[in-house]
Amino acid sequence: MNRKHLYILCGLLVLIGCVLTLYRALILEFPFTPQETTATWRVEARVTFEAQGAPTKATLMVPRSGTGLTLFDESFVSPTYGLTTASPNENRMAVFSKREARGLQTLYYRAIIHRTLTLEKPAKEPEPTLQRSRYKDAELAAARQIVSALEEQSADNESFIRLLFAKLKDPKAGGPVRLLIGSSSQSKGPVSARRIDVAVRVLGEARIPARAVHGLALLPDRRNAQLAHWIEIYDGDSWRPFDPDSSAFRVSEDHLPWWRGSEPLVRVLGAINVETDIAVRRMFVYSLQAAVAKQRQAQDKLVEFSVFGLPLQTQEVYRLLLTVPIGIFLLVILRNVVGLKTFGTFMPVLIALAFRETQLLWGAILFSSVVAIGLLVRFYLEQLKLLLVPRLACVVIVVILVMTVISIVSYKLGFDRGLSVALFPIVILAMTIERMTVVWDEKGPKEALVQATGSFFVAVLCYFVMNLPIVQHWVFVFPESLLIVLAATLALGRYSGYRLVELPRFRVLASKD
Amino acid sequence: MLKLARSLRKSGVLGINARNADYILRYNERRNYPLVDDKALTKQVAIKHNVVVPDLYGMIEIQQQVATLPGLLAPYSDFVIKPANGSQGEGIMVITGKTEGLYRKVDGTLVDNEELKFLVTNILSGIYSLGGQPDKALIEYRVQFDPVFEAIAYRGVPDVRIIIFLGVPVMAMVRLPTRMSDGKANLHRGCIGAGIDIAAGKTLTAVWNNSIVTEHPDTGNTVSGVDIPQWQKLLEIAAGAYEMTDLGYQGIDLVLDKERGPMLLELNARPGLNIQIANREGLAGRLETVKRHKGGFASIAERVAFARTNFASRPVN
Repeated sequence: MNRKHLYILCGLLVLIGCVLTLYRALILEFPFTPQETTATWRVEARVTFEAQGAPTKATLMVPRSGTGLTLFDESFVSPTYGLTTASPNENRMAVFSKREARGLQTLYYRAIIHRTLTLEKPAKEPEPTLQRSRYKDAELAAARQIVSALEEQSADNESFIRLLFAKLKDPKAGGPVRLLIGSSSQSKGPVSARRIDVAVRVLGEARIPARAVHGLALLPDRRNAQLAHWIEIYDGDSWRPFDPDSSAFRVSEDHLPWWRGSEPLVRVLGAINVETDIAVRRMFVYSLQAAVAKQRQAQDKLVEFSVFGLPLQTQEVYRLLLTVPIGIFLLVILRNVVGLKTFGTFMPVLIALAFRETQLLWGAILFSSVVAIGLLVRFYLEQLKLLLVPRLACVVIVVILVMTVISIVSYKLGFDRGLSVALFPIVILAMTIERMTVVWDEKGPKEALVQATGSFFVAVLCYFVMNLPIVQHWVFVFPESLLIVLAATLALGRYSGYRLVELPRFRVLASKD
Repeated sequence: MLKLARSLRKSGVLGINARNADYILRYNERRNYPLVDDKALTKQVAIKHNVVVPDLYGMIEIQQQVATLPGLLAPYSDFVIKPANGSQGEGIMVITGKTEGLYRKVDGTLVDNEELKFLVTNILSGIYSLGGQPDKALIEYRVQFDPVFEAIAYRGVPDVRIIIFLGVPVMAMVRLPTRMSDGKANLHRGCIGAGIDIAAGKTLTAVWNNSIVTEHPDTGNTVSGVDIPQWQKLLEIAAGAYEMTDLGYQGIDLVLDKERGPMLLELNARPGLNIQIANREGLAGRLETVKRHKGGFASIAERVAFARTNFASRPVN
């Protein structure tokens, strides 16, 4: 009847999808495969200390948005602490304070950091006031001795700095160097931090404006990331970085400046055993600098009106949203071609989305425990003979409470993943529980478990497919390719062949020959 | 796998996708669905077409009416409570008698007023209805089934399911409740389905839980070769349902009452496919036969005659 119509529609969609995808890929040179150069990171700093029952104040250096760096989704997790942020100088700090604290305290700072490469020359920065070394007596003499020795050997500031670090790093260096490094105020820190501190002071004596920079090496998935230290000198126009490790006037692109100056990362008053731990996780955001740069060149409307034209945070949402059609397509196949039974039409896809955040194992544990507890509650409510809507509402409330308890308990036990349980679509879980009990009552526990397992299996499968880097890349970079998925789904809408599960069901009817 | 699929196609087995895409979506118009989904409406239409249906004792539509349930039930010693928009036999309770203020279910267990009220409340809230829409509860006459089925049905009403396509009966079976199916006539709950030879009105082999059986598992009596009484009348009622609802592809559920003869129980716009297993034959061939018939049919009798001449079952093994 309408088959021809449908086929023409599908064909058109495939054609448009292919043409747009190829245009984007070949003319605009968007990459076909996910690139390794990603520029978005999730950073989490955790500070723990033992409070002594006195007023407690913790000052934590935090990054600030600025050249080459954008912060978003910033959050401070500090139960019961007062929080203020301040940026008295070029740094930004968060101050957590409390009148009386006792026992082990944990504070969190979380942010998503997006590095943007700026090709423009940085604007002229104001000239800093020169800081002298604040050395006294023997140390001042030692510093002056080094300066005068280096001034003789160097031709300009650059060579002065190179020579200075060569001297500071030399294990057989003479008395003055050893004296200064030994007495550095950063004496507790690693030797590289001490060298930086000494270098900045000595440069101050030599009237070269310099400052220490402390930053983070953005490497994939670091649980306990190490801080990197380098210095910046003012060249009369702007600050230039100098990396003592490579002796070069540039720092590696993966180094993120966190704070500057001689202050430590954390300072806590009224507490002991202060520990900090910084975790870095790479997020798969495709910055696609090349392509976006190309957009500026070509002034192409097609690129401008694409996902990349959106603010980064919204892009994040769409990166998630655009994988949903893939999951749904898979679901259509599993239901209409394979014939699997699931609770709720699209429930497994939503569960799969939640798995993305919780990771599979945790997701599976959380999902089954929430459903199991919800079922118990539902069976109990059955005895009270409640009306449907209040009963459903009760299940939703209990599910939320269970999720809260799971989050709190797992957090206290130190499992961060437990926090993500909140990402489960609660109402959908409650409906699932309700449907499951009805099926349980009406068709027996076996059928209910079969359907629950089916839903879970489909969710896991959707999770795997939706999480393939290549799939994520394709739907995000080439959203037009979803037109092809739409065409395939339309075509499946008229699929009238057998479902896989029907084959064994009707086996007895197979013709004998 | 592919070989099996090809072999099934060759024997004309209709799959769910083909049923939905090629028959239900094509021949059944959505606007006609309420007529079959709402059993109260079905009753009205049937009465208008002079088809006998179980008497409606009462209907409960809103929560406030639930309190009136005991009063409503007082005059009747046996009855059936069912959701107007139920599917697959869910939410149906059959009461066979009363003792000291309690009601006896088919399986002999007793329930009290509170339990009946809870069932009705659940029905009203739409737990058994398609899509969870708020629903109505019907209280109706309990069918006293014809003794012909006494030997081959376990506590419950055996019913005859006839599939009609464009008004022509294409396949039929009788569903025999078993202990496992809790007295209900639904194949997926474990009742027996026995195919019926449309030409002869005799039962063929039977299927129970997807396997072929020859005897009733509870009574031990043979289920094949049983003559269905008033077969012609049953076929005519089924064929007439096309005029009632205008649905091209539908399943008609009929019962044989001891005193009142054939009765229309309910209609189904998405009849199940197990009937093919019960008949050990695919539906597709018969549906094609009806499609190929040119010239149309002048009357219900003509359609029934067409079915009886064309759809004689092949001798089974």
